[in-house]
Amino acid sequence: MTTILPMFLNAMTLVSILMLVGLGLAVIYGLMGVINMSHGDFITIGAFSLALIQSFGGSFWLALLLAPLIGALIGFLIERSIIQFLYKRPLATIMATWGLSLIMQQSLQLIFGAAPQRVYSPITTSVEVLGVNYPAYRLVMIAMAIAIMVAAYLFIRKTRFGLDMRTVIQNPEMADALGIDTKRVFAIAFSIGAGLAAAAGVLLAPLTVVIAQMGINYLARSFFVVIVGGAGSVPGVVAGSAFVGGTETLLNYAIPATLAQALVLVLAIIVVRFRPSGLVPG
Amino acid sequence: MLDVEKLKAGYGMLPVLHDVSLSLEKGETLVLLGRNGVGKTTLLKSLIGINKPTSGSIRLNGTEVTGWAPNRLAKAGVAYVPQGRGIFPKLTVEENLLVGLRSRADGRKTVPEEVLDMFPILRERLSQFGGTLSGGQQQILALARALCGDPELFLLDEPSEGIQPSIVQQIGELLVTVNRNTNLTVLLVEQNLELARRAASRCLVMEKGRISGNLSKSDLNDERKVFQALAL
Repeated sequence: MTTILPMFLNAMTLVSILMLVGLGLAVIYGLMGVINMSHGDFITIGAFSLALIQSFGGSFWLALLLAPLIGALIGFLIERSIIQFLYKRPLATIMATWGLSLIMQQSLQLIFGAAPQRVYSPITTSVEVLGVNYPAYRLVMIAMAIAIMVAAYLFIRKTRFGLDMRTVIQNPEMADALGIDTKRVFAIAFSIGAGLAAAAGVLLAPLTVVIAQMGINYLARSFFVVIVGGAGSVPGVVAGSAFVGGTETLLNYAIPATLAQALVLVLAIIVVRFRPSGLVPG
Repeated sequence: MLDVEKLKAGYGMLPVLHDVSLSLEKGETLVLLGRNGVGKTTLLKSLIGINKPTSGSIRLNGTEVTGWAPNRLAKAGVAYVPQGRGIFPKLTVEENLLVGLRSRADGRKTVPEEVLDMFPILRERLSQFGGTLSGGQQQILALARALCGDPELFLLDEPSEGIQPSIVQQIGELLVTVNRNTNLTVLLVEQNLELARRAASRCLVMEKGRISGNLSKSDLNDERKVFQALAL
């Protein structure tokens, strides 16, 4: 038990991080079909918001509340000014969002400097779980990730806006003809995806180095999670994260980290070869 | 209630409609006949705002609505049932109907009982995905969804296409009943003469993007006149 449990909790930590960073992209890429190369930078925005708020004496929990709003607002402005004109031009979207990503990274670096930002974990104690000492913050993060996934699932399935979103995604022209303002739905959905990425940034900041380029680490993996899991459903994100995070952690115990990551990619390719629409097809 | 004047529309550089003019009185059912490719669907899509007209005007109850977005026209009382039905396959039957409520002015949040009473088959299948229904059932769902929005003007594009005769007959009866009970105005594009005869109060014929003739209700029973009008 004393060796298996930490292994399991470590896997759960990575799976939670992947769920958090993948969820926003599941909305933006999985549901709306926007190949958003700047997704990782919204995670960075979340982490920097945390650093900024803490530097003014604000608490971690305040940042967890405000950062998603900051991310959503920036996402909304970007959707209105750039993305809305590119829905039918996927290649242009890749170029535009990649450029945007570079601009955001450089702006953050110009404003805040290249040194890592200071962030403080709200909980620094360890707790004993079945005879094993484990950092309490990680357990809190795992719980938060699960709560956010459940909330997102209920939001998409049970609310009026969730229904509008599913409608617009299936057939925008018909949704429009039924009285749904499709432009508004797209703008809000994009903002929600950006806000979720920022929330992920806050939650994972205490476990990583907060610099302007930190988002890059999560960009490819977010796409991984969404593609392997199945485009655009919450259960798909859970399945994709469990697959990518679970195998990577387990392999890390046996082989060098870089090799483990490469092997996860190979396994992902095999999964997609046999299940082209992912583990949980939408 | 609907006045269309010298409407021109098309796809990109390709013009399809040439100066189409027509008007509908409140409560009538106008059937638009014509062969494939003469612009009937383009006309309906222009009336719901999916195609933007290049010139001409559309007035709804006296208000100029040319160039309005579909969702704005839907809220103004125009319902559109496209060819191929346009139901949402991955939404349940109930969700499909709930989405139909979006265009209502009164902000109602539940599917009206009258609509479900009209279509008992849908009541039995509320929790089933739209995509699992048969073609005829999907057509019924599309009609019911449009009625959920409490429309004033109904634009129907070939509801009989690819559907078994018994359901076509049912749709015909339904159009007559709805038209009588709610004073709904209907513009029906149809190739099925049987359905046209059953539902129409009058009929226009379209050819090469223009209105080329009109037929009264009694003319529709005269095969010779119909064939002549359609140039068959």
